Amino acid sequence: MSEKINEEIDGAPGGETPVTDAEALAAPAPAAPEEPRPSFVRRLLRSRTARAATVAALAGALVGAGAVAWRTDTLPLLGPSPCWDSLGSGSMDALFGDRETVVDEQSLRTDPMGDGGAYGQCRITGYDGDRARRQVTVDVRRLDGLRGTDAQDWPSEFLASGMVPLGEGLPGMTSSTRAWIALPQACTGRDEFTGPTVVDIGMGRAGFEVSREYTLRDRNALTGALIDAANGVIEEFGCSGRYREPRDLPAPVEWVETDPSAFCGIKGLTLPAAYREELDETRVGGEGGPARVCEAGASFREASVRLTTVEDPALAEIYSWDSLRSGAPVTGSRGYGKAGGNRAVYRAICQTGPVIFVLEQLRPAGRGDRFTFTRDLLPAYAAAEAERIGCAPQKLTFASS
Amino acid sequence: MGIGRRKAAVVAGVVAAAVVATGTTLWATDSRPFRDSYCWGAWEQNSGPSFLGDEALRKSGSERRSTESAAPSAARPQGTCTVAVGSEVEDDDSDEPLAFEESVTLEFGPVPAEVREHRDWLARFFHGSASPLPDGLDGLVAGDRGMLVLPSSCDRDGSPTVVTIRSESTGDGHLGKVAVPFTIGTRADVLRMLLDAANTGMDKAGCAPAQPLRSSSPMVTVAEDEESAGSPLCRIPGMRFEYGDRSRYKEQVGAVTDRLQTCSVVWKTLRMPDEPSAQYVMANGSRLADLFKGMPEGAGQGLVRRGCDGRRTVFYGHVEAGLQDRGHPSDQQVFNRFVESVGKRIGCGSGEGA
Repeated sequence: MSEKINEEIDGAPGGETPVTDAEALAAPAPAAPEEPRPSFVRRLLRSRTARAATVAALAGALVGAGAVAWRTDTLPLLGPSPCWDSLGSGSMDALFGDRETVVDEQSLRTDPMGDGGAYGQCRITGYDGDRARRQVTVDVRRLDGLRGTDAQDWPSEFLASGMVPLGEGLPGMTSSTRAWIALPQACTGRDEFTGPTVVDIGMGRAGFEVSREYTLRDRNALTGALIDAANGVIEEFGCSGRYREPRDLPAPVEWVETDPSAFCGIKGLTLPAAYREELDETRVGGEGGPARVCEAGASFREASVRLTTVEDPALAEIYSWDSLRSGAPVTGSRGYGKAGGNRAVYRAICQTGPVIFVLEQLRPAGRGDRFTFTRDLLPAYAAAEAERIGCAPQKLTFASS
Repeated sequence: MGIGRRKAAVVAGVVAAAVVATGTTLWATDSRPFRDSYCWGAWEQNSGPSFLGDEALRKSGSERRSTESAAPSAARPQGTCTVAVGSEVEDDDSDEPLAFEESVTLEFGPVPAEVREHRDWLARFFHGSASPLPDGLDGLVAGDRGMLVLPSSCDRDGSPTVVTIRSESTGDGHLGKVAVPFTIGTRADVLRMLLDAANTGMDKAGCAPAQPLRSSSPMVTVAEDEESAGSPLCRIPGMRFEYGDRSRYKEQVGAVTDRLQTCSVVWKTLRMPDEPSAQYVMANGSRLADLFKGMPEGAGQGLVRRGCDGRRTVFYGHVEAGLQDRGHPSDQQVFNRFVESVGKRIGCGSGEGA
């Protein structure tokens, strides 16, 4: 092949002895002594120096082009990473090992019909042959702080007692099945009646746990992917800065036997006798983070009640509607709230800004399987928690009914 | 040899042309070494914030000037430098044009020694509009100011060396000289200027750490808006003042974390810079606590130290003339409430502690 090209190059510009392919093939030994002096080009091609120089130049050009492609992010073959070019190979390996993966990715944009709520979703499915084995979903969304539409489903998954704070100044929480982080306010702004814009990630059923070993492994993988995804979104939004992956996450949260004199580990909070039998196990997560979540229940580790204190002022906004509309009025010395059948929400202004106290009863508990827990515990819980976070006294009263 | 000389001439010509072309390109694109630089080389033209860019010079008659003291040195690790952009605009209401001047002042050195100046300094740089720095850096930054405590290798006589940036802006015309709000850039911009100034200053003063100071994390929280000063002040139960009729007092709650809490009260007057009226700070366990050294101590003086959660903690409160003696029941009681309430939040013992 190179022979043929040589001939063509030789033939055209030299113009001395046009040699066709046929002739070239027919005369494999062209260097007969009678022949005229070889053309300049031909001589050049025979020169070892010239060949070396050509090779060097070509190599240089390739390196140069490669460098330009690299600098301009146009390297061929290396496509963008999954989820807005964010998940690095380390994160993908930790989540999926060497399984085949399929990525479904939406572009990030606000909902043109809404108030700029939606941003987008990315889903990665790992396959073992034809069988899907694991699915991870990343969502980017601005949580609703006006109409309360994110006050129930999102917290039930992402503000659960199995979550630990990311720590190190990172505004988020993580577990082995769910993790979330707020985008920096320098990027999204800070407004009243607006929840934080969060990147959250989920894998499997929320709160599902097998063993401590699996919990640690999955939590690390999920946290790494979350930080990668958040950094990708920050960049996609044209903002500056990158979150650093937390080095030391708190140990996974464990269920412990309930202490009725310091219910949920809160000094001075007594669990009424009527609930002691059924709420004999407790788990407290999120201590020191955006939200402290306590769940209690009978054995089998299924929560019957959940008590949440949301200290992060932006996150507290997602309950603004509930604290105004979701039940019969509750008045307090420095706040207000509402109590319904299985849910009570109280909002106080504390040093950090608005703080929300939420009590939920998820299953029947107490005498006659009634739904009385939230009403029975709200005043004591809010007062004790307010003491802990430095915004006591909080004295709550229910509207007389 | 004739050929050799010609070759040499050709080579010389090519080199000369290359130098000229490179130089022209660098000059035309405002690249080094033709780019202007300011403050001992810490900041360069077009190096980030709009104040240092060409946009700042688009207004008519604009020019950028800088004045600087001698650079910090090992013998005298202090220095100050100002970059100013002046411009003029025709005034429809007057024959005289309106003259604007925006300036950024950089200072490198210790905190002021004199108590009065020290209080003003604290009010300025612990203002509620400023956010704490990420990545373990000790300082605060807002769009119009910034402060960074340098590593202990730069301490002088046991006191920290600090880099600060502040902006000022005035308009001068038929209304007289008035203050105009002026933002240097985003918080990230100002932080970068602060870090550039710190690294340059530390190099000159010979106290630079092995790795230059840097920051890569985003600003997680930004300051909330200021609001009318109310009761309770600073969202702390029991902090109350009589503001009087037609109050122009505004409060701004800044950081409220385990390590830092700030809250400022200013008196607002149209066309005048805000007048600091009260300032409350809690600094816990970081070098920020060292910035209060040299102030008179004691609850009556508005400066107490506690051991909180195993860390040295400083509580500071100061009320300026306008609000003085209007605390309820007394200025000192207001300060005591601050110490007590914040202390409870961050887990201080009730005793005097360390």
